[in-house]
Amino acid sequence: MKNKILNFISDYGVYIAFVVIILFFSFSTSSFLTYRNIVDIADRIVVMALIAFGIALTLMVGGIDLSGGTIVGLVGIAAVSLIKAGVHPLLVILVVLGIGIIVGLINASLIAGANVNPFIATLVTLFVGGSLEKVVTSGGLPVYLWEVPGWFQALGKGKWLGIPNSVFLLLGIGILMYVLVHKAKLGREFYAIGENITTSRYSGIPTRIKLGTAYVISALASTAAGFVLASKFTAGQPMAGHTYLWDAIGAVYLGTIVSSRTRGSFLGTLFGAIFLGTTLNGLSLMGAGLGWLNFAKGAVILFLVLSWSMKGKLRDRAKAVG
Amino acid sequence: MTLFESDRVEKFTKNSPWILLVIIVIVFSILNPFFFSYSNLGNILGRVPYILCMALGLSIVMAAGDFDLSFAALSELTIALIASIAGIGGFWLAFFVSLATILTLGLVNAIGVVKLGIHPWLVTLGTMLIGLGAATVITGGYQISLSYSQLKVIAGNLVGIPIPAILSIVLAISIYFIVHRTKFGEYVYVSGGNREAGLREGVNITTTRIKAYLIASFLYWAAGISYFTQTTVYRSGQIQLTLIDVILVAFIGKAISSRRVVNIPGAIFGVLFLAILANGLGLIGVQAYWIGLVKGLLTLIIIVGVSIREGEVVQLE
Repeated sequence: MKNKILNFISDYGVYIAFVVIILFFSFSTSSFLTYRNIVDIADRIVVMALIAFGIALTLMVGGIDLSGGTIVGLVGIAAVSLIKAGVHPLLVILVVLGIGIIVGLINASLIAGANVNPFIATLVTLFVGGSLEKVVTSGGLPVYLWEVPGWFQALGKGKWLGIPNSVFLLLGIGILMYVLVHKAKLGREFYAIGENITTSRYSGIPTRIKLGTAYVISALASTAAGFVLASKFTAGQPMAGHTYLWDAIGAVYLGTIVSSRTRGSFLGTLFGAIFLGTTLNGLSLMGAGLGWLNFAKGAVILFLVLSWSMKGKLRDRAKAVG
Repeated sequence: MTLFESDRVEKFTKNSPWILLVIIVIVFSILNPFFFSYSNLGNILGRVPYILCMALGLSIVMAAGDFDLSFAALSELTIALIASIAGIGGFWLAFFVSLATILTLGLVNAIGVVKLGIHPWLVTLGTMLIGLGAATVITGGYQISLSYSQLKVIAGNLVGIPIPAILSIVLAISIYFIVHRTKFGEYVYVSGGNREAGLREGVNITTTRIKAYLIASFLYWAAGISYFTQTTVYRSGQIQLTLIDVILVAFIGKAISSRRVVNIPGAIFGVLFLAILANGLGLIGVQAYWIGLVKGLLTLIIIVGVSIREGEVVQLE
């Protein structure tokens, strides 16, 4: 009986918590359930989820990617500066994608080429990128865009049927990555590498190249996040991505709790982003400052990993019994 | 891969950090004569203590085969707690309350990682965010003044050398003895090297790892205390900026060790190296954010140098 209750909590606890949190914020603040605020939450979720999708992908190959935090900033600064200089939209998009690919390739060559621990490698890219963000903006001054071209504005502020365009972009990229991982050969290879890289190599998978591919795709997802954020702010904000990064990591691990896969899942990650985005928005509405938000994030991550390890223990116990 | 296995390369990668340090000192001395003066050496040593304390702590945890991201956040929390409690309950109450809090958070790290088997990065990321958040909440995010007469004694100079620097030398030597000259230290390296073999030999790996986390959190607290002695104002988030420096220091230690393990002399070298680099670049008029970039690229080079000799791709878990 005790086991049944524990199982129920570990399977549905997060959903129950989500419903309770929504009810709590709806009653305690008047502005929580308004159209305007829901659009705000959606904006936050889009950026967080795009970075988180990339992290989830690298989790599948047995690594992690922290560089999304700086890609968001670099991409924003580059995009806004180029648009300001009157560069053709197509070229702007190409340059921005180029930045993402370069950062992805750097991560790939560090991790798959030089055997650097993925956490350390991407932590260093995060830091070097952060310094670069400060260097190109003379110490961290945002680059503002006064005359915003229509196409750029449409991305972050435009709506279709009352739903922000960026939500459609998120769904599009999400579906693309889902298909790539769950319906194509590449995904099976990713999971194989994540489970055991040595056996994967012996069974003929070019592990280093596939591993690198995962990091490049992850960087591209963060590039999209940076583009959306820059369009929403109509400014290139140095270091803007760093807060989103920790949120995204929280979302990914939240995803592993609700999903049957222990190693990254897109649907779970999307739920994680919605959960965290809603919670953080509600806390801000109630007047929580940066400190409380950080505190809440830390507490949520600790709670998550604890329940995660509990779920693992329960599964092991079930295996031992069965 | 033969390129990296040859003896000459082996010798070069082993000695290159020392060679680099000498070159850097010579270049800075030529570019700005003030660099090699007595008072500037005092400047450099004065800025070392809190980084050194954190680096020693992280090194012990890493030597035991674990990791810790919460060091800077726990030091921040120490400062914030002392600054807030000292005004209400007196300095000494603040002193002990902060120590108890930091040790408790260190215990949370230890239990999460060692007892529950959760990945160190996740647990310590959680305590990191909690520590940072709490420090911001306590100080309200404002700049606060740090001047306590109780700390005046250890903030001064002794024959021209800053006392915090002397204290950190004493601390560094004691940690050196604990890690490299005691049974516990041996167990730490067994835990970091081969846990299975250690268990078969009857080494209590669990206790060793928990002790490593606790000693480390004590050192993070000491880092917070030493921060008071070198500056008069604090704003939350300041120490978190040194996150990568401290990680870099631990890896420099690994890079210059012949056994390729994190070690205390290496960490001390790394702290001095970074302090000299930052001071020298500052003296020749390089902007702070360029110094960050240089440090980052340097980290990259050293970490690649350490990692490239691993035959296999390193994965998490």
